[in-house]
Amino acid sequence: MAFNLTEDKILQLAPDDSSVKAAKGLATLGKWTLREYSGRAVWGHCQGSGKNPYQTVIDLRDIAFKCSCPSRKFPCKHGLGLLLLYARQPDLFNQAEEPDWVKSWLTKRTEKTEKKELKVKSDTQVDESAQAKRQEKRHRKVLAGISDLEIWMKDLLRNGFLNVPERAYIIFDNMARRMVDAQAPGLAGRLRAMQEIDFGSESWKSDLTEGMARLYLLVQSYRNIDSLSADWVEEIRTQIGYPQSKEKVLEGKAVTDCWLVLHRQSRKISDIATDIYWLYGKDSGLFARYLSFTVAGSIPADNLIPGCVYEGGLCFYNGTGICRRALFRESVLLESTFVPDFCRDLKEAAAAVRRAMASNPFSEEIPLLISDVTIVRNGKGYSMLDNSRHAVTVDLPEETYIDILAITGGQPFALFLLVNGDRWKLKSIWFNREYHDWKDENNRIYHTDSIARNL
Amino acid sequence: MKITESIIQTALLGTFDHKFVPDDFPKSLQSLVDRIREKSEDTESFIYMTAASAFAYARAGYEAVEAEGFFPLQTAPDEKLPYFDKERSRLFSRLQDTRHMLVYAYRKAQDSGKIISPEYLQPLLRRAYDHGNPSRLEERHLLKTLAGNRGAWLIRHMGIVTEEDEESNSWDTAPHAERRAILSMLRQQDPAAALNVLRKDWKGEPANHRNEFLVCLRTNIGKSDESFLQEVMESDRSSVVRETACKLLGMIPDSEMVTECCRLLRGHIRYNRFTGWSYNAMAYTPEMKSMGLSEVSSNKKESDSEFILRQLSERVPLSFWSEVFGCECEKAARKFVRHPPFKKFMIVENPILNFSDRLWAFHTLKEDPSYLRIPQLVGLLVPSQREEICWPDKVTNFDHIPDSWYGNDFETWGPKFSSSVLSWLLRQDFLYSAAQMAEQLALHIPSGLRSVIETKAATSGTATPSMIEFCSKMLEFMDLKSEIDTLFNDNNI
Repeated sequence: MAFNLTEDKILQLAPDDSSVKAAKGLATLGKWTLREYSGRAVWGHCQGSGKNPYQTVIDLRDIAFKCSCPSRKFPCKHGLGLLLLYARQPDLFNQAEEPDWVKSWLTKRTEKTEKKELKVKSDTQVDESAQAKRQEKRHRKVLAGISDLEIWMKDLLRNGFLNVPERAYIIFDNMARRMVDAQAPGLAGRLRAMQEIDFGSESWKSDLTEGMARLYLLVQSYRNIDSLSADWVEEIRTQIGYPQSKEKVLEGKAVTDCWLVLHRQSRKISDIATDIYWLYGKDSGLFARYLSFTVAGSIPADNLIPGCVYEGGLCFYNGTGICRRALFRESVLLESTFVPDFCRDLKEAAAAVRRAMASNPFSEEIPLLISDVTIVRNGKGYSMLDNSRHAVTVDLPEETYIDILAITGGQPFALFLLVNGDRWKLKSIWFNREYHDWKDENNRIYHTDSIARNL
Repeated sequence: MKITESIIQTALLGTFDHKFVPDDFPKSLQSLVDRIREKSEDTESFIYMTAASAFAYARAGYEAVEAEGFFPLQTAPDEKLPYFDKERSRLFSRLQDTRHMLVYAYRKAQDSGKIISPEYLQPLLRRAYDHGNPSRLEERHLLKTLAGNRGAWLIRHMGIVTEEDEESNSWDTAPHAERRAILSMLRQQDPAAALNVLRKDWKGEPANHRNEFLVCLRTNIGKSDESFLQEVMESDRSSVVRETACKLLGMIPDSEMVTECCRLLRGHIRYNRFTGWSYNAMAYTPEMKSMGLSEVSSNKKESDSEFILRQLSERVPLSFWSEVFGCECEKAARKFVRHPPFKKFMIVENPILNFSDRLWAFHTLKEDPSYLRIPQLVGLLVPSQREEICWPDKVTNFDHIPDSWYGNDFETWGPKFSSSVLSWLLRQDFLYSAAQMAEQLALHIPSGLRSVIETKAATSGTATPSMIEFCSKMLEFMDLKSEIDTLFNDNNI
């Protein structure tokens, strides 16, 4: 079966570094007593420390794993190891009839997909009056919550923020819990993000003041929601934490394009693994955020691979801004990839940031693509230089900087950044049209604390 | 001053006893602030809304700064050699967590005329310059070719001190432990140069450091070291250092000291095939004392005169015994192990190990394989010699392989010796450092013996965890080695 995943791409599916290491160790002939494949799957038996070998199967159509090992990681080292071995040495695998355990899993997957499609298609009867009642009740609850929040915020300002650092956890955590009770999880996320500000850094005063000011602005926006346009109503409701149903989003107009995965951010919040994929449309030039949530022990619905292109219709959530959350109506992994359009220099990039801010002042992370830049050391940090001799401070770990030098040899390259205020965080680069990405494990500390807010 | 500064100050100090005076705002922002003031119900509300507007205003005016004072990097020099393909370059990256496999792969790739792709270099370079890595010096040496010009350029940007930097000042500035490592490495590559380096600072070093440096000379010790060692033995301030120099002189078969031992012993020890050994007593002299010989035996069952003779006997080379037995060295070695002098007290392996005499060790083991109990003797043999020995079927407590058996050349052992070693190991319940041993052993065991390990692995139900780990790691590393061999086969690169 034609198989277009490279080793790098397979390893990007690993949940952590130790899985990568273990998978590499398992990607050897000696570990697999059975190695077979069919038109849609590859499977094998791996001898573990137990009496019976582990049964591992991979659905090659949309890369999904199943293994009989007791590991809670997903995908487990056996799944990754088998896929690596298949990618490296497909000749070692024999074409065979799918055994029952493979067949039943694949059938279940197909049934599940069909059910999902059916569920989307079948327009479930909604009791509109009951729904409106529930919405009204929630609205009142949120209003009551934000009244408390307002009083609390004003008290905090009256006393000054100077003594916040030493009791940040208690201050913000208590109020965040109250916001969760008030059914405003978006506000709770913003409060928790402020709780995680690095109070040892020089910028904490500015970060805290800006965070509080934005929160207040959001609260006021919600109070005035009736006077806002439809898009802004959805945006503010989303920011507060009102969910938009998947089905409704998928009912909306889809933007059909070839979507390049620019970067993947992984997070684990309260046992829920969240992958945020930053996408870019080839023809539309649109950015999108695709979120995938996985509860511990369950199989993630999607495994988009950074650097790869997925063709399909993307339905955007209602709201405003240049990078809205979206869902794939359907998608196919393409064998070819492309290089996106970049801002030509830092001036153009700064203008793009300004436009993004103007379109939505609540934007936390603005995606940005820039070409022809180099990175130099600037004291303890780094600066990005362009051909027109302009510079911007950029956040990246030392290891990433050295990797970039190794790849580029000091020559100009193109890159993808996420901009949050005056922090420009490098996420991936293109050099000689080749894509390079850094896993979260490498730059965990550089990821902003604002992810939770964006959820 | 930033337009948000006054707001931040007010927010920090609080509005309870500090008044916020919104001034110095740009005109466009000021008019918005005025409107906010009109609509605000209280000071706090006014400050929050003003802050939100001011931060948004500041962001909306974001511009890249002029890059004055920044100097673009000098680009890396072009490569003269082509890169390995991804599969081969990635293999080095995969081997990062191994201890010996990476060095093996480096050596195999050394003469390929290709270099590692730059994106894989950083961790390999970091590892080669990690002071905790025991094989760092060899890795650095091998990477000089394999990392290409990009590697050398990258090292400078990684803030790593290279050999070029070190050449001028490393010996002078390195701490003692590092200097010892440099000396050992140099001793292996160029013994004479190492001796010159040591001579340079010899007198300024404290006694314990001098003694440790001197020990490094054991590697590739030869006649050319004799004058220096003699000088140290005669004139060094420390008795410990003098003693070490004396021991080292005793390791050079053609040194004056060893010749003197032969001279002293000659005529005092004889062998007759019918009557066995006979000895002529010898008086203890100051000369013997200076050679490090003791006068009185600590063993009451051994006479002092025979003790003196025995000490001399343990310091003479095989050629002396060849003279005593009146036969060739090979035959003498066999006779020596069969009929050693001072039977109860003679430690046969002492002179063999002292002179690192491969031939002597070989014939000793060939004559009496039970000398396997002295593992260093096996370490002296080359693989072809090991094949000629009738190794015992069973060896008790064989739970690890001595380091000296491996050697530095990753040479594959012969099937006979390999089978014996494997059978000794696979009989055990517990193996020390099973994974590490498996990695090293996999580099030496012929691939034909894979089935032996597979058979043992198949009985994992009855094997101990240590044995299961050993077998699975052996198979894994043997596969890895065969992958390295395939990828870096001369015809394949």
